Amino acid sequence: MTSVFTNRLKVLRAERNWTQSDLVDHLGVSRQTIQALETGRYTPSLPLAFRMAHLLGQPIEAIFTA
Amino acid sequence: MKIETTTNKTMDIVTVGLCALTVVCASSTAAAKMPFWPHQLGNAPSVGVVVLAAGLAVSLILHTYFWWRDLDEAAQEAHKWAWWWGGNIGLFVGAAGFVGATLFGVDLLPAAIPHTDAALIAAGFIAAFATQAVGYTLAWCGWWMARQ
Repeated sequence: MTSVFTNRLKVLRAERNWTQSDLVDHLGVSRQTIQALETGRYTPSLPLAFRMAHLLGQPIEAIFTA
Repeated sequence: MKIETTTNKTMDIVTVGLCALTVVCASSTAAAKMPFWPHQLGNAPSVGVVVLAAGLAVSLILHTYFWWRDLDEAAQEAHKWAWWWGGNIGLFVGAAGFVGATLFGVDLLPAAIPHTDAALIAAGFIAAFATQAVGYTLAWCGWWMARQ
């Protein structure tokens, strides 16, 4: 069960020395959602994708690829 | 996001409080009969029963609303997917099983239950609801397991 898109969330999180709990606090989603995102098996909604891009300081295209 | 979550939790606590208040009001009005009850509808129920049913229905709806609002998008997606696929497949399996068992002459009611049409209808409803709930639960677990 893979998503249509792949993402670099885990890499970008590691570059900033953040834990999954840090992402939970900043994005306002559950840890299960973060895990599903990082395994590439869940495609976020557009609002969540924009929040991720804003948090990581990257354009959406730099985080997600088809 | 955190402020909204706190507000939702407060409203959810209020909802649970309303539910408790309903139970108290229902208990205190249990003895009184419903006024202005049409004779065509049979014996009037007690005010307490009506208060309890209405209050619990409102509290349950409110609680469900605030619970749903507090879920994140993936959790909502999991419930929606499980409700559709798990609920429908479970319902079909349960309905097919119940009808098939009835057609083959299997006695689906316990011996202690009077074998009336109403009892059979109730058994069918319970079978459909139970298999729907099982299907929903399995689908919900499967959705999360496939994404961990």
